[in-house]
Amino acid sequence: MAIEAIRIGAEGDKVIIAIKGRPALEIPWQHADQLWRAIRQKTIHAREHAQAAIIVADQATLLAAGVPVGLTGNPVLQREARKEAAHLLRPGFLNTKRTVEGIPSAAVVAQPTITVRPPRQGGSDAPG
Amino acid sequence: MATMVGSGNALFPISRNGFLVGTFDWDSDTWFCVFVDNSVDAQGGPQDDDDYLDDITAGAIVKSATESANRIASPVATDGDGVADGNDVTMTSVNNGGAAVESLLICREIGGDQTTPANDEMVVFIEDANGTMPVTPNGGDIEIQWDNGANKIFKL
Repeated sequence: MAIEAIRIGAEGDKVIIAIKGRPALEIPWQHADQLWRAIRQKTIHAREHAQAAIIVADQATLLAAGVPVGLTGNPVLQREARKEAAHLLRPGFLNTKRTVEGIPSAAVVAQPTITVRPPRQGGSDAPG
Repeated sequence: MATMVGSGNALFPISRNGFLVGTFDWDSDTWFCVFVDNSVDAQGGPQDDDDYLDDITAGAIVKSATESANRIASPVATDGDGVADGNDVTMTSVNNGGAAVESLLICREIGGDQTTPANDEMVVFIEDANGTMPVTPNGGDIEIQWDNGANKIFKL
């Protein structure tokens, strides 16, 4: 995308958007402010669309871990994330391939110390 | 299915579920230890989808002939810590024909004895033991001393 072909400037109380050196839009600053907010909002929606799978997976991981942080305000993605979180937490999910991609378990199995004793000798109690 | 051999100590998925849904009670259930000769087991050692001890080839299971000697006495879940502890285990007169054993399992004993591996769940897999595994049983006793640090036998 040739974003460098777009120039944004200000002249007086107006904001001017020029494309390839030619003024394409000249609007009062109040309208420019509204436009900026609308572009920002639509950008978020577009990014969510493009990265929906990643956002759902990350949100599901947080939900399953009990972390109350929202990554999206999109109710559709939130619903998908809740379903994915339920999947992560369902009994038996560790038996599936998803184990590798799921939440690492915090369980720790410690290391014991194993000692092999020599065999008991029959009648060894007798004085030599 | 994936082998647990070479991946380090871990809980079996069936035991995670057991503790999660409350079918396992570390304080009151009976737990026992067995060694596994991975080279004899048909799968080359425990797999992560193994659930009961009969998933291990019978000839690969090595333990004391005296069942009580395989058990973890006084299992205790330390309140608030999620840590499983218990008395050290001394298996008596353990023999494997001079061959080494590479895995140590903790299983839940069902039915009052260890004669029915088909209903004894596999709970813990251990292959790292401070450099003391594998071991080669010689007919003498084998002592299993649990970690005295924060995690004891295991921590959920």
